[in-house]
Amino acid sequence: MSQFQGSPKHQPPNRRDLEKHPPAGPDCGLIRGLLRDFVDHDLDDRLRSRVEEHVHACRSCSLALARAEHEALLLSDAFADERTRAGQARPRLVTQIVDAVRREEIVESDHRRERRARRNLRPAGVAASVVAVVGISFALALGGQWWSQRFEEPAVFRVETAAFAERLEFAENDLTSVRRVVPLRADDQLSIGSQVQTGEGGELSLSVWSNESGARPQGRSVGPAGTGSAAAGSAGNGSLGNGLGADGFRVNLGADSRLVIGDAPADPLRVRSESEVERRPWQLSAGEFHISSRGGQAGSIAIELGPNGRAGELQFGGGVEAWLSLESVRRPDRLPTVGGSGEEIRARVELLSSDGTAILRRGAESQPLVVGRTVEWVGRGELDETLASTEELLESSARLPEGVAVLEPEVRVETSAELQVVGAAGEAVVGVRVEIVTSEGFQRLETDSEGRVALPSGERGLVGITAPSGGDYASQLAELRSLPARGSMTLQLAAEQGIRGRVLESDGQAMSEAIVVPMVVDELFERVERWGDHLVVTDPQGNFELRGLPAELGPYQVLAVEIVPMDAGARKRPFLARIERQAERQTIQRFASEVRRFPDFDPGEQVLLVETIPGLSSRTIVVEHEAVAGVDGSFEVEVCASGSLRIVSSAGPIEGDKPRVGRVLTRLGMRSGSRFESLVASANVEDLQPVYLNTPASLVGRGVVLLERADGRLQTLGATDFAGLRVARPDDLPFSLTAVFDDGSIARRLFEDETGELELEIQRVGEVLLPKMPDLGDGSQWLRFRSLDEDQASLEVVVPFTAGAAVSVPEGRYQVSGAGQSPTELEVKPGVRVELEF
Amino acid sequence: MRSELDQELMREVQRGDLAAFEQIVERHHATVYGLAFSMLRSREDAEETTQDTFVKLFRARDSFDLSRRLEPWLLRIAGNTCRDQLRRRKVERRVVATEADQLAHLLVDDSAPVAERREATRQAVRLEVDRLSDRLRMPLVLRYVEGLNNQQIADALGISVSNVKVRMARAKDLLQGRLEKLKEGA
Repeated sequence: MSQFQGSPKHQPPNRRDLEKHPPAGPDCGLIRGLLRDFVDHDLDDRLRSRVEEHVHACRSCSLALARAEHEALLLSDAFADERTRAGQARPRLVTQIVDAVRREEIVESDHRRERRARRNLRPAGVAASVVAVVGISFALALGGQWWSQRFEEPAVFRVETAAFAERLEFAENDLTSVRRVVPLRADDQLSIGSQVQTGEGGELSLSVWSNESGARPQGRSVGPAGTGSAAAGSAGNGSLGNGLGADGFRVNLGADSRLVIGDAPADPLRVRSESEVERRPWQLSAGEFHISSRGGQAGSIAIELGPNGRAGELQFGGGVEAWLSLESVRRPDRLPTVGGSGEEIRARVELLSSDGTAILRRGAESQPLVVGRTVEWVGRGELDETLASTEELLESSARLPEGVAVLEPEVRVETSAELQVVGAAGEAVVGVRVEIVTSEGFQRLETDSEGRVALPSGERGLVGITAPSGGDYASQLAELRSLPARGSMTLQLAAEQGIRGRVLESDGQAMSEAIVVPMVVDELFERVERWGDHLVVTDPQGNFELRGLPAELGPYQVLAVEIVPMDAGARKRPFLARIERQAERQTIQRFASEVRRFPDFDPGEQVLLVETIPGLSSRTIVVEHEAVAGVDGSFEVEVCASGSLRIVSSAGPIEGDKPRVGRVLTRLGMRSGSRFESLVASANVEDLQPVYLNTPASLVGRGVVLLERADGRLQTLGATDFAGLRVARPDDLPFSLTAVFDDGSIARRLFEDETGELELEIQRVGEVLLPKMPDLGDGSQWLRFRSLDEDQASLEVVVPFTAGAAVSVPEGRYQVSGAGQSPTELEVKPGVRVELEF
Repeated sequence: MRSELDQELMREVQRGDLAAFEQIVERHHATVYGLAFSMLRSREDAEETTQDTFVKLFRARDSFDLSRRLEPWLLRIAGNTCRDQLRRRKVERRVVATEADQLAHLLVDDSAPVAERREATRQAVRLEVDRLSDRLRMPLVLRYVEGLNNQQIADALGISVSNVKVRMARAKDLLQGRLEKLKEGA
């Protein structure tokens, strides 16, 4: 099995979205992991094309794309103010800043003068010393305490810079690793003064080593004497002594620490501060961590197993190296989430080496650790939050208890993990497919003879696992995020999970041989879709049972269809009812249905009928019927008697049973690739949301635009020229906009938003008569109309060039280019035909 | 080009040319201010932070590596300065929670005027953005206010591009969850 390595290349997909709308197949899995980057225009051409191709063909992923776009739209809206205000800094701000910098410059100059004065004291003769002392005394007398403090802190570099602030962000659990090189000279004093604020458990690590070559400076070393152990608020001091190691030295300093450098080195020294630790493993997940203290420091580590607080404390003498291993022990009946309240967690500590002492303390108990011997204990904890992800790990680490010292751990997390699939009785289930979807892609694995699969966990972030139904086992959907290191996880499948029910006539009589199929309710889009190939027939008592259903896909609806004898025309009679999943026996209530005949169509004409049927709950159910008129120009469709029916034609939706002959629709909902892209929604938060149909097709001829709302209602935007159509966001989620062009082609795009009433405004258009030019020069076949009006700045209309043809263009002023001609300007007025001349 | 000019100006600043620094302030103060305003939501604080940022840049001028771009470094300083500022006023977040409650009612109130509900959605998203940790919020601000791409964000924050993506996705997930909760709780 291949392992996922490293960090994700793409933004992990929306996990709630994955949860609600699991990928339908391998390709979907991959595509879903790319959608956020797709929306952010952060994919290369190859992947971008792949996503485009897929979403055009896959309804599920196109909906997911719409949701991802909506997500980006909301964020973009949310920051609209800032984008505006970003350019609104007051003019005086620049002056203010420059003044402040000038003041800073003056302070620095003073400082340099002081240092020069101080140096001059040493080599100079008595006279100079006397002058200097007098000068200093005079200055002291004049400058008072302020001057005195500065003199006592003769640092070349005041550590109040952003770099050190950044370094100290580590105390706030920032992943940022900041390196800062500070040149130091002999007698220099690096002070980390009151500007430094370490958080709880904060740490500042400073390393000193020689200049560029990295060679060891002669006679330099560091003694960590008096070094604070980084407990919150504690002060510590490190000082340079003799014998600096090849790797330099590290010293952990608390707040208000000071590092003093002694005699002049042969080489200038460099001081580097860096955040060594990217994660604080304490208080977190199962995992194995290598902990070492260098520089002879003592310290302690608190090990937390859950909300009950500190379960153990490991105290170190100097030079300790230990393995700390936390293991989560899961019972098969507590599944399948990662962690959980009261879960058992086993912790192990193995001391690898120590030149000091190491003590493990749990509550009042203390236990010395011996090299080579492992100490183990079991606690209970809550791992849900801490296992979630790297990011959440960081959040949890922000809760480091005050006073816990942090050494310099080297975090090592193993990358193997295991998933076991068991049945309701805890037995291993062999051969279950496990589909793993990560932002890296999609993998399908199969459980072995022990019901296990090895999971890759190199990936940090989202890992969705689904075990599709196999045999009598339905799947649980599990979501593993940041797999436990060296841990195991059991995914339990519930056997014989199903829906039982009974189909009755309205008079209470049992209906046998009715076909029952489960429908999954897509809650977000309030649609129902058939789930898989499940289908059962009711027994003579009207009972049915659907088995092997997924457990986590949300509510079901069950559609029962009665089979009527052939002589009645082999019609199917639908009954609809809503049954909550896994419910006990329920009765399906019958809706009456009837066959309706629709005359007055052209022979062979295709018609789409959209039926809206109220469900038992507040939801409505939409059924689409496609029909073809027979030779007599009529067709029949069996529909629910209680619903409403709309027939789509070029004259718009028709209520009731008086359809008019309309234009043939090829198929509602079909979208062609280029036209799907061509419907562009602006991210503005204006009351009217402009949606420009600027495809070549959209501006030639006339057609109908349909707006389909989530409840299945269709609304026509008029059989008219629809260039520059403006549509407000409807108040329900989602809606799709379908443009049906006169040539029968259709463009459709799904929008979703949370607010707004439906308002439509058709922009008026005028006609432009294209010039008769037999030769287009460069062979270009298109004309491009770019709006010159400020409020239509984003409007661009592209039309195919046909010599002498008239095209419809929204009113306004344009620059027209293309067809191998020099650009020209043109004004289009509504209802007026203007001639285009180059 | 912009980058090269920055480097040239910084070289002059390192030689002691204060006028060059003034040009740098001129060129970048709007960017820094925009970032600060997005993070702090207060004009006064944003101005103060912008000033602090440039002062810090000035103090650290000698350690600027002239072979590197100035903007990421500047943005990183600005981001940290914003965080310092935020730490000083953590209390304000509680106020945000109260506002969010009021917004939640508007979000689910079908009788509220359309424009109000739309604005409520926008504000709710913005408030929830404010409640995100700085670590998650910064990439969003840099993307949606400053218009930086992932690589630029990574440079500015001193993290990997992968990390930017993880943070971005994490922030979006959190926002979505919180918005849902907000509505449920209304």
